[in-house]
Amino acid sequence: MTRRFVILVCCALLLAGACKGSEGEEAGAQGSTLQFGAALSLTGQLSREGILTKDGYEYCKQVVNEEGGVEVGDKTYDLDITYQDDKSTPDVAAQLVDQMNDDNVKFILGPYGSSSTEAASAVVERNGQLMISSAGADDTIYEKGYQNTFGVLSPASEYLATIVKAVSDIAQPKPKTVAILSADDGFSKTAAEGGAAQAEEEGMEVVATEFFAEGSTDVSAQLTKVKPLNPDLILGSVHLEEGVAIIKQSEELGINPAGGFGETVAPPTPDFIETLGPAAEYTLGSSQWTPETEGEDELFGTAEDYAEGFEAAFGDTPEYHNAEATAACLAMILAIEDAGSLEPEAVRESLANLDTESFFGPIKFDENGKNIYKPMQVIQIQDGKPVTVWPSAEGELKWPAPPFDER
Amino acid sequence: MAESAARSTRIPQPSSPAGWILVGLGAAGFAYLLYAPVLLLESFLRTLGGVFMFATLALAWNIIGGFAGYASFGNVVFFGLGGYTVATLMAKAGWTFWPALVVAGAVGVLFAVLMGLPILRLRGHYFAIATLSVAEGMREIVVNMPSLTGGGAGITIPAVGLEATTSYPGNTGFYYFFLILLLVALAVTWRVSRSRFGYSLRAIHQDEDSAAALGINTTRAKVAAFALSGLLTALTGAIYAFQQVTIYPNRLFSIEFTVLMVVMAVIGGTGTIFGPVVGAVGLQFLSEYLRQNYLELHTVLFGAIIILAVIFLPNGIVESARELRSTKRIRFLDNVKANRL
Repeated sequence: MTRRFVILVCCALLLAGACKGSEGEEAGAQGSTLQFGAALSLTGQLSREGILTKDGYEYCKQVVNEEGGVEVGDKTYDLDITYQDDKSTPDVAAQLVDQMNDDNVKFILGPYGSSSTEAASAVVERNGQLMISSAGADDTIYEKGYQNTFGVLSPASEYLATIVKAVSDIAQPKPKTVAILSADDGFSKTAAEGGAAQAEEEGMEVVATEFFAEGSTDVSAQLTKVKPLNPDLILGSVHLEEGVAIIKQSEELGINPAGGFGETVAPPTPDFIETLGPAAEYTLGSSQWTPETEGEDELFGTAEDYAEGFEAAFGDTPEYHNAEATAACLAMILAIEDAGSLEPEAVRESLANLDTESFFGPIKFDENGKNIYKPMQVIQIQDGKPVTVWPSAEGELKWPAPPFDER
Repeated sequence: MAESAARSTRIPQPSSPAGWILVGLGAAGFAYLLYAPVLLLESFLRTLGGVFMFATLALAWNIIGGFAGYASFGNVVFFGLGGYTVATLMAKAGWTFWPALVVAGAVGVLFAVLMGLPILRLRGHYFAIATLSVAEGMREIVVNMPSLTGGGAGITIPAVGLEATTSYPGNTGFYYFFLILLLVALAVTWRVSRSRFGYSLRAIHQDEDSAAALGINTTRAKVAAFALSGLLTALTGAIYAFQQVTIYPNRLFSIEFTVLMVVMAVIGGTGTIFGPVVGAVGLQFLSEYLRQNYLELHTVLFGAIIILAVIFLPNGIVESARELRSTKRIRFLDNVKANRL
């Protein structure tokens, strides 16, 4: 009896599942609606960033539809975006993108984070879908020879390199020695390598490169190794918690580099400043976007216009996660309009040739699909706020940073 | 528990009419599963593959956790080892998938024996904690051997283009891989449950000292059960790694997998043959359904349903269904009445 019950349940579940439907409708369009899909981390470890990304996509949808929709040839479509939750896990993101393909959703807006993007990009390639990544920065995603994945954001290799460029450009005195501390995930490692290469190019000596496990809150072993080398600049290729640990433990260990500290993604976040208080001051950080970013486009105007519009719509000032999501959506729309077609292959061609200015900076892809043409912004924490100091300056760089006990 | 587990293996013989119906239904179901790729959407095949994968993991856990009563909270270690064996052999040594799969299975068995000999001497909570820490420790080792495993940055199996050693089987291919592995796991469980070995495990579950006194070589039986569990889990991990292409230590050694295999086996019915499969099928479809329909609340709902299931069906779905049929009573309701809750 039990076994019969089991088998019946199994059969019922299988029969209830999706069966192959008829195809023939145009890719990604139902009636007068153009359908995009996004698998996002709405729950789990990355849910905060996932929700910021979703808001960025939603703002894009809102503006596009207010402005009359997407013009494809002589037809106009309303934009709609379906969201699914990848639970912050790459395998689920890949599965969801696969499901979207079966629902004839060919245009995919990227998930949050490099791991999920990497997993989704393999599926997109197999299915002939098209994906624009908004938050998958790791260069390795784009170095697999995939044709159908593009990234609007600056690649990981730029995150630390940008800080080195800025310091080398505007800091007086210019630091001579650099120590790099990095988390050991793919994104952070790539960023650390990019930073080290840039430092050598600028004539600085990299005296140490130390790694610790992703998510570490104790980096004192690495700091202790670095301390006797007396670097002028300490760079961290990190996420929030590791970035906080470097500053906090440097203060405790009395490590005061002659120049100062720079870290990749931690400093621009409000939590960094809140957690560290005065110790956060003078830290340099890199950001994909700030409201001072140069460039404008017809839909969103300048970066400042974007910030105002977004705040009016959502009540929060936009973070760079929001902006990069909107930019991915913008790139997809521009490419579709340029192509005048909803055929993924035609849109792919026009994406490959896209070369435009936007509120997010230049959007143009190299042969691997990376947007290497967009500069990143460098910010410095001044009076408890991130202030853009390079390449366009909202405020002046304060250099060198005084020791912790004099702040 | 063990007593009921023994009962659960009593299966109608094909000589009776009910038995023939069962055999017929089973054959029809099997034929349907074989033919499914022609009927179903690609992505649904992927979902089904995932269901089969979890059913296999739950069955593998059931051998050590259900039959022998040793609640392993570190079975994911075999999953991760299997996955990483295949990934490193294919990515670093240029092996094709099939020999790598064989080695992955061997690694699972070997590691289970080496790890089982010392830690199967622990009982109860101590055993659970020890297995948990072995899994966590293994993840750290994998993270800290970047030259071999790619470290935290993960490792990518060459699956497309000229570097691919074995062509990527796609959703349909992996559907069949997982289906076959599930059938193997079912056959193994069936065999174990009716063998002398299976009775030894149940005896150990009930009272290990008495089992030893009866002349059962408990260490050997436990280690063998652990090795069998490790073998099936490592093979599952190996196929999963190839399916994912890029694997990361945090995912491959994720405690989430361990928790899911335990929960699926417990909710379905530990120590039974079909319990873990019922648990895996039910929970995976439930989780899919909730995820598609409750974008942000689905994990909360999923957790709540698991709690309710454990309260209502403390012996698992399979056991409770049998109890309901034979006694026409639901134990939970009796409890409620007796305690005037």
